[in-house]
Amino acid sequence: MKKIFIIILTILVVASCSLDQKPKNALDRDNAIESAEDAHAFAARMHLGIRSISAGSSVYFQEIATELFQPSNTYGNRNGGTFRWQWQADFSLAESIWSNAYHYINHALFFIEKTQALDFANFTEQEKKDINYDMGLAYFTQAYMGYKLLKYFCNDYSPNAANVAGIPLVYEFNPLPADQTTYPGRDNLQNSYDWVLENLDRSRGYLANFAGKEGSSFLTVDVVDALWARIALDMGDYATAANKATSLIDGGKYPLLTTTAAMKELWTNDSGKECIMQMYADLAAQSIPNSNDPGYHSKQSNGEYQPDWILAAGVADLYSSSDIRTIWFDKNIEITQGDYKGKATLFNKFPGNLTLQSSKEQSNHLQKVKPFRIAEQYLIAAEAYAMQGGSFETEANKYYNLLMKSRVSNWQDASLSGNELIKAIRDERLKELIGEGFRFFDLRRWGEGMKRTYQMQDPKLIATGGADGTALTLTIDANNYRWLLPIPRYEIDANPQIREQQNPGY
Amino acid sequence: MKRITFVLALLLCVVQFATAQPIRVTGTVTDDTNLPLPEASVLVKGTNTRTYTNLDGQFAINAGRDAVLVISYQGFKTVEIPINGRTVIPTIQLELDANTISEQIVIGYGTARKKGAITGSVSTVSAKTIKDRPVINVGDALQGQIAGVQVYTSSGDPSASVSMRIRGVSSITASTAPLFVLDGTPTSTNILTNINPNDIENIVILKDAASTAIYGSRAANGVVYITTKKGTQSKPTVKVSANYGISNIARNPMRVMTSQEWYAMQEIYDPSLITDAKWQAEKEFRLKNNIGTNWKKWILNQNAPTVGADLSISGRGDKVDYYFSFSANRQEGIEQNTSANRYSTRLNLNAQATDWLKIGVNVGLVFQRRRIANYNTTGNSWYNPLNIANWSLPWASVYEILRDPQTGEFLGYGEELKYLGDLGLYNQKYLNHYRPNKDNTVRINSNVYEQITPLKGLTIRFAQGLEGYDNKFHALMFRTLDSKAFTQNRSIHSFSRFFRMTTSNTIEYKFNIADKHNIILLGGQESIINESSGFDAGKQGGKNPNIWGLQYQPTEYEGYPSESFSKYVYNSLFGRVSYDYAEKYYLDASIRRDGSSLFGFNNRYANFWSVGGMWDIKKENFLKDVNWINRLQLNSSYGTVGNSGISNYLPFSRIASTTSGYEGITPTGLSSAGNPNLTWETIETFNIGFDGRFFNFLDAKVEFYNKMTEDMLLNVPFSYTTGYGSGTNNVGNMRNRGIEGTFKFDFIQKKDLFLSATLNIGYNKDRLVKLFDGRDYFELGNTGLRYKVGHSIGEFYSVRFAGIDPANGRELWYDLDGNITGDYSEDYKVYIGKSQYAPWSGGLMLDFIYKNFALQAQFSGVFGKYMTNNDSYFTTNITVATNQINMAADVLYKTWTTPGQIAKYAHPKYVQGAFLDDRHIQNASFVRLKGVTLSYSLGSKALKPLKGVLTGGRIFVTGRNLLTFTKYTGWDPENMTNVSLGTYPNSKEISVGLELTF
Repeated sequence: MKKIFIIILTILVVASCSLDQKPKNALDRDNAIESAEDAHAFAARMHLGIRSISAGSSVYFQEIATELFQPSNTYGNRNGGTFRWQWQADFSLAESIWSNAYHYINHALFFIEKTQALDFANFTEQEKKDINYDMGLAYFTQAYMGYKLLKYFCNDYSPNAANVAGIPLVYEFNPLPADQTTYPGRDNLQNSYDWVLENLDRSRGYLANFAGKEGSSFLTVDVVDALWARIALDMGDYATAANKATSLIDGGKYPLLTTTAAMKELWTNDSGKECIMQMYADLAAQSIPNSNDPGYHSKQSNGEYQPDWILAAGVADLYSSSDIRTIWFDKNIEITQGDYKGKATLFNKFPGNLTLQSSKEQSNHLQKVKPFRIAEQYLIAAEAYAMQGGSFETEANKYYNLLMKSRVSNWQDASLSGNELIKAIRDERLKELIGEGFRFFDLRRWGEGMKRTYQMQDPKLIATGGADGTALTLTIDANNYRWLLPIPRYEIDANPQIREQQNPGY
Repeated sequence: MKRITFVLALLLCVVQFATAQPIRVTGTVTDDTNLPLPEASVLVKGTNTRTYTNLDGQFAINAGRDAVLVISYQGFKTVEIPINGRTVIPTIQLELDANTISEQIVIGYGTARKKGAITGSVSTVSAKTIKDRPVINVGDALQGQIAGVQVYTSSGDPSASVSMRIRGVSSITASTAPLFVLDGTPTSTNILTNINPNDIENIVILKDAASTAIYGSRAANGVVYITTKKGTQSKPTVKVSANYGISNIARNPMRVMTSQEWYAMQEIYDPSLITDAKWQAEKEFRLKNNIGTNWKKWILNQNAPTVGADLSISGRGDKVDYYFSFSANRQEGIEQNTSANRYSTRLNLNAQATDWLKIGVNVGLVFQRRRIANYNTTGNSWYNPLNIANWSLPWASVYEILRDPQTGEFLGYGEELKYLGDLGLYNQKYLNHYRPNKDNTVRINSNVYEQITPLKGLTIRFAQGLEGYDNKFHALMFRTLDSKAFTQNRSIHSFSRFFRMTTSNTIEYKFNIADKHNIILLGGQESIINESSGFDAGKQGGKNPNIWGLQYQPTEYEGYPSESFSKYVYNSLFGRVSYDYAEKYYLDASIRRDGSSLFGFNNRYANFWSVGGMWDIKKENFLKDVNWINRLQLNSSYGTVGNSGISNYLPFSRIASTTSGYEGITPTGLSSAGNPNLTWETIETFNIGFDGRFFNFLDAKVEFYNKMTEDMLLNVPFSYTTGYGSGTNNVGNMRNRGIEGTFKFDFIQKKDLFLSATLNIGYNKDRLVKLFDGRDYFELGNTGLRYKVGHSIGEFYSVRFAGIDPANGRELWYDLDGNITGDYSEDYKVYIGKSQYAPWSGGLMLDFIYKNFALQAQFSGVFGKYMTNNDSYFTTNITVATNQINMAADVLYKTWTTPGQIAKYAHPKYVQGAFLDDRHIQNASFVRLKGVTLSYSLGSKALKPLKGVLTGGRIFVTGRNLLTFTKYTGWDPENMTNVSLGTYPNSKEISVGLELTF
């Protein structure tokens, strides 16, 4: 009988195993950030987030929805809904901006949570410096993403912001993403802007020692200020906007370009000039940005041009012949549409950086992404001063003329005031920032509505039939509900807290 | 030693002389159905004098006038016959013994139970049904065998296994496959292609909660319990069998156009060709010289051979029983370069070490070698052999066409071409030759146990099971001679290893109180470790096809090398109480507590339970005298089981590297959301039914069940504010409800003539009961799969085709309101009431024996099964009809050409595009003659000259899939999928075999 019990015991002992089986060969929440090196690698991805939301469809949406481009006969209804202002609650762009922005906000939150828990005592000086940068990057990412959300999904800032819908605010990484009760609803606009600015402020604190540099592919304190100036202008905080913009200008690190050659170098080979930030891209490392060109200048492999979007008549003529920006316009291009060939001027601000193209024959119109250029700061400064009126108009004229002088070789300084001054600055914004994704929100901010009054260069090239034809002369009131994108239907369906908070109209 | 034997023999003789004068006694032993029982043991009681019956059940033995004969045979009650001076004993009919192994079945842990004493829903498939089949896949034989069990051989690849569904589909994203258990140890589904069918004693299918709840979180889809053979006869038995067969494609459903038809069609579509001199000349040339290829014949194997050979030795001694087998099989596929070889050996050994300790081992070793062709798993590849068969232009040739340079006259054929210019394709056989794939697996299934019986009724058992396999896959690509098709060598090696260790310890106590209350208590504990790992290495760039070793390939191959690892475990406790009162009222209750690493940290443990009852009504006094009822039992059960068939590590939130770098850093980022609350799907099953035999003619078993799946796992949308778009969560309920019946008719039961038919029918309807967030429907992101509450989860959601407008030859559809429209839109999709999951399934088995001949036929069928015929989508796709691919011959004759014509196909001028609308969703119900075997057994007369050498012999001819009845026009209706394109179809086989027993 003794033997029996010995056998029983030996067998029972081996009959249990640990239920704690973790994925090996993979990172999970608990072991993703255990060292300064881990943290640095995790943080680096936020650059990709910033790059991705600063280029591509969210940029050209603003061009196609406004008045400067017209669909060609061969455009195949690509972005047609945007052109015709027909987007609905399932608009894929809205979902892509929304999901991307929140993905990176959470990425930043996760980074902050995990990094703060690290033991800094053993870090080298370089590691500490890196972590400081990364923390600055994390807060900047939240501010930048939050600001994008505010622009696309909320009304512009107003003194009444506490009573206007903002965005769902996320303060910490959600450990239970499957639990619907943890999902936030929309906060008000005031809190939302406060949250953005607070993050920006923190970011500035961490980045204080990372001085700006022309063409920097990394964040600098100047990048923070450039965003700040942009937001302040939006919020009507003209003093801050002017202050931030002029300090960037007066710092002298980002001289304006004055020659066509330099301009070409910037927009073809991505020289990085004028850029407060120009983001990294590399073909060999498979780090490819989105393209800002939805088909402005499509040259087929057989050499024929077949653009989707043709510049409206007269847009190229807004520029004087001595304007160095005329290099963005390719004149007299023969466009082939089946049997018909017609000539037109095509927009070519994004001719494509050859080093980012796998096929050297046919351009993919990829450029390094330039989220912040000094020219925009000139326009911000000018507009911010102009809006304050009175004695500030002198300053407004100053920055306006500085920009114009660099662009137009024989520029005679103007001395404008009142609405004339404001209109000149606004017109210049259109001309300077065309194609870079500012137009839609500029029109909204100015409350001008959107009127398509431009003629066609060659009506035979343009899709004039049916709904497209009607849309060629579309007028959108300043109070049209589509100035705000819909909260994505996916979010409305998944998040009970936001279910009743869709933007009106959708 | 010899001397001692001699002395002993002498002594015995003396003793016998002293008691009685021996006489020669003869007799015949039969089984319960009056068939002769060979190999029955006949022993003179109290002596060592023993003999065995011959093939005709006859025996002759010397015994004393007053001696008693003890007749025994495994599975039957032992009888004692006093001789009383007779020399011829009247026929001895043995009665089945419900207490012995063959009529006992194992229903999960604990000792075997009497078949008639089980409260749950359990069905058995015997060895007879499984053997003699000319395919490597054992599962194929199970098709149509059991009510409510649908088995599909979804691919005709010789190494492919079956997909099996017991009582419907109870989950959307978790596994729908049953749990396979081999001799008590859980094993993988692919056991069905990795076991020698002749080793199987029986396969028991457990369907309801009363029988499966003891398996807890793995039993959601039922349990398939495979028991292998053991030695039963005290005389060693050696069996040798061999078979040889040929396979061809099971059916040839679609006729594509001949050259003549193809040219005719082109001329209808483009009448200008009629006057195109160049076209006409070429047409004339091809047709006149009969140039062209029967692509189906060219690309598919004809009469692909299958061979099998098998040897087994079994027997039992006083303390030991043993079963040993070795088998070798080879099956060639009907698609070229596909084959499977299997070598398997098995040893089952049980030893009664002491009167309280029994130990045993069942171990099976299998080596499997497969050839897998490169293109036949890619449905839409031009090089898929089925697409070559269907799509290739009929007038194209694989040979060079020699023409007189002056006259252009046809001179004959040259070499087989490497590049088929007429098709714009490489010769597929040529490509495959340069891309050999080799795959082999070594596998072990081993179960070891130690069993202690310290006192009567108490059994303590420790079992250690191991399933493991190593797989090696080598994909080679050689630079082709023309260096165009493949410009360089490439070599990829993949190694993977899997093992599962199961340790289970049980204690069982059987006792009764006052002879009426029979009680069995079972308690147990189990732990299961599953581990798989693998690594792959690949390089490329070599130019010389003779040197393909990795070290000789100069360049890396993207994605290689790589490595993987996965491990998950279960820890469980379980118990069962079985009670019966006088074998009349039965009550069973079981409980299992499972913990698994698969689930969220907060929900790792779950409890499953069941109660079942059975009432043996026939045992009641009021039925005692009702003669037409031979047996009648009523049973019912209720309980829960779980489904843990999900991907590993789902609770963990994953962080992964991104492909895009930033300034030299490869960043990491959030990749998938974890869910620490994740838990199993639970299935509540109610079962009620009866089992009886009437008029000594009809066995009938009818059952109704209702299965409710709760906490169903779905990949559900998350709020983007979490940083994630979706993740797995427990949401949703679905239901399967059905009825199943099995009816066995014993038409004739005579000694030389036997005829019976078994019919089974199952009906199952599944229905999605509830989704999450009050949603009425849910579309799985980017899969096109859409689920709607109140509908079957397999129901097709499609745009309804409304035919061809006779007026103008354009295609028409129905819009959402049922109005006819000429514009196709995805927005017109509706549920069309047809499901990929067949509600009806059944089988019919015929058994006929006349003297030494036996005929067994097995039909199986499913009804109400629908499938999207993606093959016909291509062969009737008018948009590609001009010149690119060949089409169904039908298209020529049923295309609209003139106003008023009722046509099936639109004129190509008017087609908007090719749409996978509901015209391609075809009825894929089918009835198949799954197996038919005719065999002849050698009688004792024939064996007489071989006496002492051969004790039995059998010759058989077997057919598989010889007949298929279906309306489906694609390759194979048995394919279990919602969309079928280029899927390896089933084959039909005919084989002959021989079995000898020594």
